[in-house]
Amino acid sequence: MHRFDDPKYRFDFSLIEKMSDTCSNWGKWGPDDEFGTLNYVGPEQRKHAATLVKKGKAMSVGLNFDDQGPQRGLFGGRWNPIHTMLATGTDAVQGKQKVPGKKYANQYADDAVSMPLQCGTQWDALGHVFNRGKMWNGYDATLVGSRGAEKNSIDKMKDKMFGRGILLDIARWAGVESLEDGTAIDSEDLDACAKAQGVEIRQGDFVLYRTGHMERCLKNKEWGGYAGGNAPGVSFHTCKWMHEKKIAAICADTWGCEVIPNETDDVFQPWHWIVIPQIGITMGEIFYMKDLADDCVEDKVYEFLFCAPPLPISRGVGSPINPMAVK
Amino acid sequence: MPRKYSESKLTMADLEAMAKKVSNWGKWGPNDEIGTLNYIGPEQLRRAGTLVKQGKAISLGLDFNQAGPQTGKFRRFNPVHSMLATGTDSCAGKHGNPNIQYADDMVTMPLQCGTQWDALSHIFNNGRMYNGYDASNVDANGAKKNGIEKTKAKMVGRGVLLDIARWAGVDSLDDGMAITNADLDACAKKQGVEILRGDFVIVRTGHMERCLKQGDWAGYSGGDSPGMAFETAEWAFRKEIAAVATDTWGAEVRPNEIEEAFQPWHWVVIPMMGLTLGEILYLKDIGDDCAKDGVYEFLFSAPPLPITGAVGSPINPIALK
Repeated sequence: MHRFDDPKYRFDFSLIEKMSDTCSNWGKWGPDDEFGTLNYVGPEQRKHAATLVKKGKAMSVGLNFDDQGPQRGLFGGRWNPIHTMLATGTDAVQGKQKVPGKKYANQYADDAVSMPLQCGTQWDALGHVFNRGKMWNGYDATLVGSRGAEKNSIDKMKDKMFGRGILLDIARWAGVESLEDGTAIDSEDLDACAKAQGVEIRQGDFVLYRTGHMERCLKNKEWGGYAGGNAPGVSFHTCKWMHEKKIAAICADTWGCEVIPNETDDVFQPWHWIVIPQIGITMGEIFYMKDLADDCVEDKVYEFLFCAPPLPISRGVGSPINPMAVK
Repeated sequence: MPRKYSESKLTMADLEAMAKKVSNWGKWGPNDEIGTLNYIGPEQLRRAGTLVKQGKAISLGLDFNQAGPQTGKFRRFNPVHSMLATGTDSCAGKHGNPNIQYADDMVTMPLQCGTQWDALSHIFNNGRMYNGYDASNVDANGAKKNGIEKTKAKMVGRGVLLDIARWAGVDSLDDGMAITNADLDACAKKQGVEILRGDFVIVRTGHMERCLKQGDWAGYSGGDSPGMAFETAEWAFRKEIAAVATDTWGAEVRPNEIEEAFQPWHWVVIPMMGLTLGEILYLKDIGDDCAKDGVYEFLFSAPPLPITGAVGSPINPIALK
């Protein structure tokens, strides 16, 4: 691990250009592909994943969606979910719910939500981030207009988010409750943590890594800069690791996976520029990993069946999710 | 075979009797908020894991968009998906600071406008909800008891499809056709599948596919429909299943079999039994797949969005075979 401002790791835009080429998967699965690295998950991977259900325990890796969420308006004008009632029990018991033609009143509650799709635990669709006007597989960014994404939208992934999950508990491996903001995780750290945990990273894996950032905020009862501000996370230089390991997805307990401040002054979230549009990796963010991590440290098993179906919102560029780990 | 809704002559007295008969209040303690999902234990999860034999995943969810089934009835509308940032903006140079080119979006939607779970706080019976909690626990701030978030780690287990339409030899059951206990048993037997404790039982009527084929939802949401006969409340109770999910708007037959009450089966299964209900599932693909390989059981995973205090959740259920 290193600090974001360690001169040894600083870079400029030319490295983003270079890595865009080095790590590109464009065309790998044909010119019409919209799944990216989810193509690495095949029948073998799914069958294997199911064999990991051994003790019969299901855990959620999702944060609840409510007005206590992490959004503070730091990025993109996002807000926490607004949950409103369309019908309530208080209405019901006071006789406000007559149904015409029925002698006995119906008694029910109903509700609605208004939420940015990436305000909490979520998938980024491949149409979420662009690199110099292009998105995954070379599609033009202008294909994402006011009516949503004509290519690389989240609904294309509706039956894809299932396979072998592994947890890399970086914080525990490093002996801390939470990595500090601005701490960058190197490829060597990911490998060393996996080795220490006795788990192998395989093609088609959903890789979850824990920094402890969310738990620090929950413990402090203050999200502070969690959503869009400084954070621990993977170094830009891990983009090669993400490419070479042929993993299906990468997920973190932070807002944006990568270290903030970033290791370059030239752009914001440089790792995103490579992993989403060039590698075609599906990214999961704002995962709640405490329960899963506590379970893994207890039984020393860091692999599990992972299932996190997105809401298939047509032409959406993200989706709120409630990821499940089953061991 | 399914029969007309009007063939049963039921009254509010039958509703009250059934409410008593199938009550699970107190069964899992005075503080329980998940009802029949308690039937899913480690053994059920392990068994579900063994059902993934081909490594195939099938979605049972309808896409969420403006072409959904809602018409405004019950104040429900189709999802409104709008963009907060776009690629067209990016390419027009509007995302200069911070320097990242991206798209972002939001949705406004009733939680039960499409494929969804009903939470146990969705329906009341005489001012009470599941486990005896007062209905007033669900106010303008949401559900203090029986909210959907309580089930966040519970919606995974063994799924079984009962393809009633196929078994009955029709593309879709007609509106007003009620599926009886005998139908459920006969269909399961014909399919060679046993209903076990803790199962997610998925019932296909063909109703949604009929609407999709016609290109018109018509009365799908809240109008007449095929569905479960009132008596199946007893079947679900006796079988100790975890959940029932269907390809219709409201699971039970419409017109209802009890004239005085709207959705009488709901009055019983949700507040009394504590049964989790799934509605508006898209069952064409799973129906075709099961008919082809003759395997009607699978690992089923349909995690709800844990919206705190919500009385329902949109879902994208997955069947793994």
